[in-house]
Amino acid sequence: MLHALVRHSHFLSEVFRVKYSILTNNPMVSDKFSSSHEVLFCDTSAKEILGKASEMIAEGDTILNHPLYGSVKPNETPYRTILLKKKGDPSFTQITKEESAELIVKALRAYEKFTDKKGQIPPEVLKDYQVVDLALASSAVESADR
Amino acid sequence: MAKIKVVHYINQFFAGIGGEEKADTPAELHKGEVIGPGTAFAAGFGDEAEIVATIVCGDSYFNENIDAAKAEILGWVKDLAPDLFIAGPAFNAGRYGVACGTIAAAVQEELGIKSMTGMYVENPGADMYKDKTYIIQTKDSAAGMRDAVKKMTAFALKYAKGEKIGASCEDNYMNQGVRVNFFEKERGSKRAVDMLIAKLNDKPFTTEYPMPDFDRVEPNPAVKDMAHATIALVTSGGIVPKGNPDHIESSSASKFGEYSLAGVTDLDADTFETAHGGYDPVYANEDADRVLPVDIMRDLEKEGVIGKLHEKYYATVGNGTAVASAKKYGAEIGKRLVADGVDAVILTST
Amino acid sequence: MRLEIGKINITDIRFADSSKIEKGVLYVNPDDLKPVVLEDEHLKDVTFDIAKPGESVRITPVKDVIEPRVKVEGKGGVFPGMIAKVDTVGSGKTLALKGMAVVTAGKIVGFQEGIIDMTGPGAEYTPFSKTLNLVMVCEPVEDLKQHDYEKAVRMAGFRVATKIGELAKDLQADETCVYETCGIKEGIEKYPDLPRVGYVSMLQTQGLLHDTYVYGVDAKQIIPTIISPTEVMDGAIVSGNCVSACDKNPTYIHQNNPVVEDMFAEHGKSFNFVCQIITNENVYLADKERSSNMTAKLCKMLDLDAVIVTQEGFGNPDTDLIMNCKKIEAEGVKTVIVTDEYAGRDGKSQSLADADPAADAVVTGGNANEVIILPKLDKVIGMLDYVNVIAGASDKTLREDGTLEVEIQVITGATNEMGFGYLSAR
Repeated sequence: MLHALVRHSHFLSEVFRVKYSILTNNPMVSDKFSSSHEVLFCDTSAKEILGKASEMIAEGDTILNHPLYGSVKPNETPYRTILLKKKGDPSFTQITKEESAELIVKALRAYEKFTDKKGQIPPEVLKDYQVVDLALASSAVESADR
Repeated sequence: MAKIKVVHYINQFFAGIGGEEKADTPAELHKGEVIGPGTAFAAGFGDEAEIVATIVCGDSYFNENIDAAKAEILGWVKDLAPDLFIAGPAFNAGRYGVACGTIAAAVQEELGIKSMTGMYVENPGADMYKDKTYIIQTKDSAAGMRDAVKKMTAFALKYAKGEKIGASCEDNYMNQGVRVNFFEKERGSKRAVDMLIAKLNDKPFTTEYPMPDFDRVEPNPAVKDMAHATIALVTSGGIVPKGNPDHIESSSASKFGEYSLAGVTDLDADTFETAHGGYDPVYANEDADRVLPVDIMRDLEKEGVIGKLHEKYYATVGNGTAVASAKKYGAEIGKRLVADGVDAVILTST
Repeated sequence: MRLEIGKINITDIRFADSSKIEKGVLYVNPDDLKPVVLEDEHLKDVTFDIAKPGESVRITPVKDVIEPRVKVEGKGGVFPGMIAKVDTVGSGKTLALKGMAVVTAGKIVGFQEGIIDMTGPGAEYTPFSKTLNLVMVCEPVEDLKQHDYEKAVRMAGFRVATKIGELAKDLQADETCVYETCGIKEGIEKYPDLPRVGYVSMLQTQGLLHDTYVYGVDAKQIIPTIISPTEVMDGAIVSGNCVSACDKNPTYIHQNNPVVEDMFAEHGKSFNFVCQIITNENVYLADKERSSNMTAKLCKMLDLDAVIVTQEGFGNPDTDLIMNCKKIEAEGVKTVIVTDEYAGRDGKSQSLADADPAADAVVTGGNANEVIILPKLDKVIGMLDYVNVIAGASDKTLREDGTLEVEIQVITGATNEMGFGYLSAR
């Protein structure tokens, strides 16, 4: 079981149309959104973030952004941010729990095709990965909060 | 450069020994001899390669004595140490195709000698071995010999010389399930436009990337009233009445069987057995209920959980049976079950 | 809409005291171009270099490739909404400098790929080994944010290309091609018996380094719309995409969209090429559903019989591609889709992140995971600093003898999903 650290949980659900949590291992995402959104920060690999997402889907959450977002390939970027709509949220649901689970399975399969870069990335490049992941996550958050 | 040494494998028919009646001919080694289609290969090879030996084996002999035949042939090939081993072409002859695929794959895997064969795409040997050896696609009968020899010769020389093998469509072999890059003559957009025009006009076209096989079947709605339902048993595990009355083959089955369960409450070693050649038959032969659970079904019948067990069951052997054949059997079995008013089926495999 | 493209064939590029085009030779004085680049306060310096086909030169990391063009007749100017005002372009006459390109390079993020080799095995995979390339490497001011750096380099490229294009303003074209699409009614009257076909082009729109702009608008905010392919030839669509070198669509490929060109070749013969439909590839699943619904609806409303769908990028866009294909087919409109594959280094993995039986007509740009050894070349324009961390590379990439072991996904344009290249796979 992953250790999930809920940084801040301001439940501003009445402000947002969709009630969701942001599951991420990207500290920049956590820093940017933890004061306005529910952020579940897990200090773990990108692949394990998908694993954690699939546990949450099993509990009834559904996914809001595509798990293979970004042209930076799986195992190249160490970061992954997934938006999960909470079980029981009354706003419209684009995809079902089952479809969410299938998307994660397909994404995990893609991880087998690319060389794992773990431990080879210089710290200054890690920052770049964080920036791009944050940008792509923000583009999903913008859509979700619209 | 020294001539490329080739060993050629053919069956009793192409060796001129005889047809089905001679299919039990044991394996023979003909050193220095070029036999049957080998003559055409030799002509195609010119000075570049020579057939140093021909191995002839009856199809029934090979398939029924597979371990012994394989060991004997591998021994010969090892001693001959050729640069390339060619089997067939087998066209659409099922058992010949399986033999060619089996021995070519074994030569490659166990001896590390390059191997290849040729056959028709629907030959059961094709599906079984296309990812284990190079299989050149041929027509479905020996009338396509010229074409087959031409393609196989070209491939053989390229392969034996260690030249880079291109994509399957370039070098006429069956796709091995591995994606191989190559440069096309037209750019992608032109190919897309051409494909679009063909599709618009209902003309044939070949997709460059066949989608993964989606042969998914939507499950039927659940049976609501099990207590009054008739349930049938169907198996690909080869359970047949003792003696295998329909002679369902132990592999690459060419048929399925329909058998009565009237009055049968338990399958035992005296009355039922398996025809399947792809798993250890000891436990199935001891108690065929392990594959076709008639005993349990009778219990459920008695307990009133199900209405009744259908009085007939259907069986075939799923060992190397071509998907196309399996589909055909399935459709026919389904038709008969519907006609008999069966509500649901339990399918068992091995 | 009717657009004439006048082609000016460029046979050489040379540095000189004054910038001009004479007898097919482009003379460039870098001092003329430098101020054009440094107009942007985010950029500290720029160096220009020339790379010619066959030279032992490697350009990396490549950001964008642009063909210089200039509008000489008709409304608007090139790169509307970016450089020129947002007039509707696509009619009149435009001159294009053929055989050359402006290539922007520079490390915006550490993992940025994009290699153009002008010779050797890598050159076979990139279309830009065949163009004379004027390369500009832009250096940012200190502590410039990645967003601002990307934008600065992107815009500098367009400004330089525009400036060079203007050198051709008064020249006679070596060859002229006319592209003309009809209005809906006109097309039906003119080609009553021909099937109506369209072209759905999917634009990369996931976020930073993954963006495309249409008349200056970030395309992630559009809902699918129709556009005349001639507008695109005038630079109505530009790339802000830096990642996934092999299957991103640089501005050059939008300007010279190969599907558009090959469809025009059959226009009025095999079919009536009605229009181009542009749609996006957002990360948010509801956006994907909306866009693919709209795209399918447009195909239906335009009474199209068939479309070609092209994509850009890896993973996430596969889902958009399959959604588009499935929904368009469900409207009774036939599709051919163009994609590329990530089948793993051994070619054994499932190629696409998504799949559907409706996608029965697929053109592929090849397996991007294929491994290639790139030889050491005499000169590098740009930098190889982080070559080990780019996509498809590993800690073994830079080998002792100076050769690079990489997957072809690092090569600009190698598996282009608009069908610009010849690579395929089976």
